[in-house]
Amino acid sequence: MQILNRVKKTFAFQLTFFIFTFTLLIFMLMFIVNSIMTRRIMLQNAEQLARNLTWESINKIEGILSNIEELTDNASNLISSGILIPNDQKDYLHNLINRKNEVIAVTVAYTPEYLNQSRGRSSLMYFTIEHESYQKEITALVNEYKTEDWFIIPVSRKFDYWSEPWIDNTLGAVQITSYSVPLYEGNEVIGVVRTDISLKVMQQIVSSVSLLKTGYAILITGNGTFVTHPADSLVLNYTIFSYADQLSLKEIHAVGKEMVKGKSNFVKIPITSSNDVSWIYFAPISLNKWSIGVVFPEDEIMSDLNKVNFIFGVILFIGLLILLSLIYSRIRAIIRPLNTLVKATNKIGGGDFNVKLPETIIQNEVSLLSDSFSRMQSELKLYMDNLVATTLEKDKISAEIRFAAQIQQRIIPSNMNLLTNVKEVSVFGVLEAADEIGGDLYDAFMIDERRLCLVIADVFGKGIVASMLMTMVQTLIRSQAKYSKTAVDIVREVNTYLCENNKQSNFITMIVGILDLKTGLVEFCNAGHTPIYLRKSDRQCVRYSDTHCTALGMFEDLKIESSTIQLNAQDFVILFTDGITEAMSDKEAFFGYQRLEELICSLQNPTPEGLVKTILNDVRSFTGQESQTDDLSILVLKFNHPRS
Amino acid sequence: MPKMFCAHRCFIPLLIVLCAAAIVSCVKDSEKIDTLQIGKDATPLDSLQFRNINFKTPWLHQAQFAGFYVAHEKGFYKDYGLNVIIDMGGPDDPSSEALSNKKSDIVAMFLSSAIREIDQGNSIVNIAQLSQKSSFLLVAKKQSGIREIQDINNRKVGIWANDFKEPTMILLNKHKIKAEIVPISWTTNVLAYDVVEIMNMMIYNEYNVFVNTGYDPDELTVFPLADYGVNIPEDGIYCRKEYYERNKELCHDFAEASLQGWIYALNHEEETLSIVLKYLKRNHLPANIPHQRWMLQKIREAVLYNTDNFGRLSERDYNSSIEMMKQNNIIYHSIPYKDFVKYADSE
Repeated sequence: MQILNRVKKTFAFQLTFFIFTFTLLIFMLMFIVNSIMTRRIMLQNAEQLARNLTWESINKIEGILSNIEELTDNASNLISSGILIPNDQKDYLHNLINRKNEVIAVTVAYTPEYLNQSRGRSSLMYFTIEHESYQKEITALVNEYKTEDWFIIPVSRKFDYWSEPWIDNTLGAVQITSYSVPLYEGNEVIGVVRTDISLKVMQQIVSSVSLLKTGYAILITGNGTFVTHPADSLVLNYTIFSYADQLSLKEIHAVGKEMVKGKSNFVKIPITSSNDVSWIYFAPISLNKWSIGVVFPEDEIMSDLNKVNFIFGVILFIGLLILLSLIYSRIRAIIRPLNTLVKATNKIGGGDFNVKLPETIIQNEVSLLSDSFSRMQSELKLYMDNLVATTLEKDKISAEIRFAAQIQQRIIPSNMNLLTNVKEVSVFGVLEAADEIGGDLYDAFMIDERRLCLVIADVFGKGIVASMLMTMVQTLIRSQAKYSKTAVDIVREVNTYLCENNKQSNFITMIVGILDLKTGLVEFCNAGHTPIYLRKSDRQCVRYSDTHCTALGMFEDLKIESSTIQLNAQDFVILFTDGITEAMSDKEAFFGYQRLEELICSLQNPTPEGLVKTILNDVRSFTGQESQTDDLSILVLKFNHPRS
Repeated sequence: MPKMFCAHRCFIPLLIVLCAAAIVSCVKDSEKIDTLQIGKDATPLDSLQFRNINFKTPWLHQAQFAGFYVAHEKGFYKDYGLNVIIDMGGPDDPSSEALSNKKSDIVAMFLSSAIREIDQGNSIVNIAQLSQKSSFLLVAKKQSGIREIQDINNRKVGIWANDFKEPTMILLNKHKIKAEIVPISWTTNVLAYDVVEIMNMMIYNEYNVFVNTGYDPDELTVFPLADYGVNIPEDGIYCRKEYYERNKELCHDFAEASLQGWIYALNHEEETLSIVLKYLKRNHLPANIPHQRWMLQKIREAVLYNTDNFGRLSERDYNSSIEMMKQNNIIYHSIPYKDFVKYADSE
């Protein structure tokens, strides 16, 4: 199933399926249109054939009937006009029978009224016994014939009349139809001349008609009685209407109606024994108002078409299968390089840039794609080589930076040994760089036996340059402090050094303070740095915001001043960089001085370490998930007591 | 002993017929009648010698006489010890004539024909009556403009020339219709070719023949004579009076076996049709199945029309028929009902 699904998703399958479906649709459409058109043509041909056969039979029958009519009309005229006197009548009428094989009897029948008036006249019937040469003549009895159709209808209606099939017992069991023509004396009808012909004459003509395999012709009379039908039981027994009634087929009833009305048509009629249908073409015999129909089953006309359709369908099916397999294999051949390309791409994705790409002989879109891919592969390889080299270099730099950071960390005094031997003070500092290496600096060291130097500085910028500058500045302060009496001296030295050596024009903000352990007096110089906080023993907090000069490293002739703070026992001096106060929350609010002051004042009996960690924790909780953007440095000194 | 034997022989089969009639009386036209155990109580064959009867139908073999064929084919006549030869009549061979010239012992004929025979001095008796309702119709093409009974005035009315003309004549007189009477033969072509504008037909025969020449029923105006006050029931079973007097048992047995045949026939349409077709084929007559079915169904309606009188002619129908025929000067003499009908229980 999975394999099948995979096959279904392939390009070859989808394209083949699409082409197959579309081709099939077109072929089906052609097939249907062709079938319909051919069917129509074949039906038209069959109709024409049935029409020809019908009219051929009608013409034959009408030829016979018109002969009979002519002979009978002549006899009628001769008798009516008195030319044919009764004495000659016998010879004339016997001759008539002899001349025409179809005629089996001729009767001259007078009306009862005429017979009453004309004594000596009698109704006579002349006929030939079948297979016997001798001819008979009998007197027809008026009481027997006066109500017969062949007599009463032409006499009453004064027109020529072809009778329905009937049996005249005089002639034996032979089925006949009679043509009766009124005899006149003046305008008065005095009788009829009747000529009988056997139904066989017409039955033979119609029953000899055949069409296709089982097509046949029917002959029905003016009232719908079957005279000819392949089913003998229907002949002269059923009318087309009782037949329709027996089969419960309205369509046949409707056809019967049209036939007895003397219409001609070509219509479809159902066959009861199956779902198939037949077609019938029918047309009237104008002389006797009977009707001939030629019936043939539709499937016989269509059998050739069905054969053609079957062969066409098989060819179509096989052709489509071949087409399908050819298209499929051709597409597979065309896109085979693509599959190789896909595999190669996967290998390239896995890092194997040396994989061989498929070679295409034929120049097409796939070969262009392969060429492009080949170019991409070589460029990618080049790029990757460069990338490897660059990465190696970067790794090297990173290692060096890490090394520099370690050096820097080592330069920053450790709290473990930060003035632990100086009892008068407790000092704790922290520096958390935003990057691997920072630009902040703090330091606390003894200048001499009495003086303690506190430094906090923030180099503008970050990274290696800032770090190195910071390192240099720290080294400078440590080395210059011994030769400097005041904080101002130290700051000036740093400024001078920076102005001379700092070609990148990096500047530094800085606070340098010198605490006299004996007096507790702190002289400090704030070079553009954040304020100093002094936490008194009574938890009062004093902020020293004044700066004594601008940031260092910008102007050589900088006027530098300093201030002093008198520390009492248990006072805290808190130095920090702007990373603390400018720490930003996720709502883009600054940590700020107010919050810092409140925090410093809120603690009871803090230690420098406790104070530093409290501040750091509070800053971290304030910034939340926001990444640290600036270095954080805090240096807290607690003045325990003056040196005694 | 012979009398007791006779009473026994007459009573039990009669009981069967009466029970059957009672069952028949409870059913609608198309419903099946419960199966009867025909002949069960008939006289055992070995106690009888077969008695010969020449029976004649008034017309060619057709479903109109189905009950007689069924009684013969199913052995009902045999069960009664009867050896019946069924002969068919025809247009030139009326059963009434066969009866009067003693060619037939027992015949079926129309009541009107029987009454006319009496009038002509032929003593005949009705030993059973099948039809309870007249099947006579007057039929016109609607296109002739005949829609009401009075529209027949001054029209050409086709009436059978040889027989069966009385009911139509009575109808015309009853409704004071002046029309030109045209004697016609048995085909319907005279109506189709407008020789006449209206003609008499039997609903079970000519009407269906005419419809099957392409005229739909809604194209025709039909006057059933029974609906216009002329209800002279048709087929009954008759024999000469002197024959009856000599063969009462035989006549009653024949009547009862025939009625059993009729009950069976009305109960088993398909089987009956196949029996009818057998008679038609045997006599080389055209066998038109739908037509015979139609005929059987219409005869059933006539036979079961008044189920209280199944198998018998009611005195009222007899008297009204006599009266109508006398009024129209068709007959001048008649006999009382009790002399005309001779049923087993009326003796």
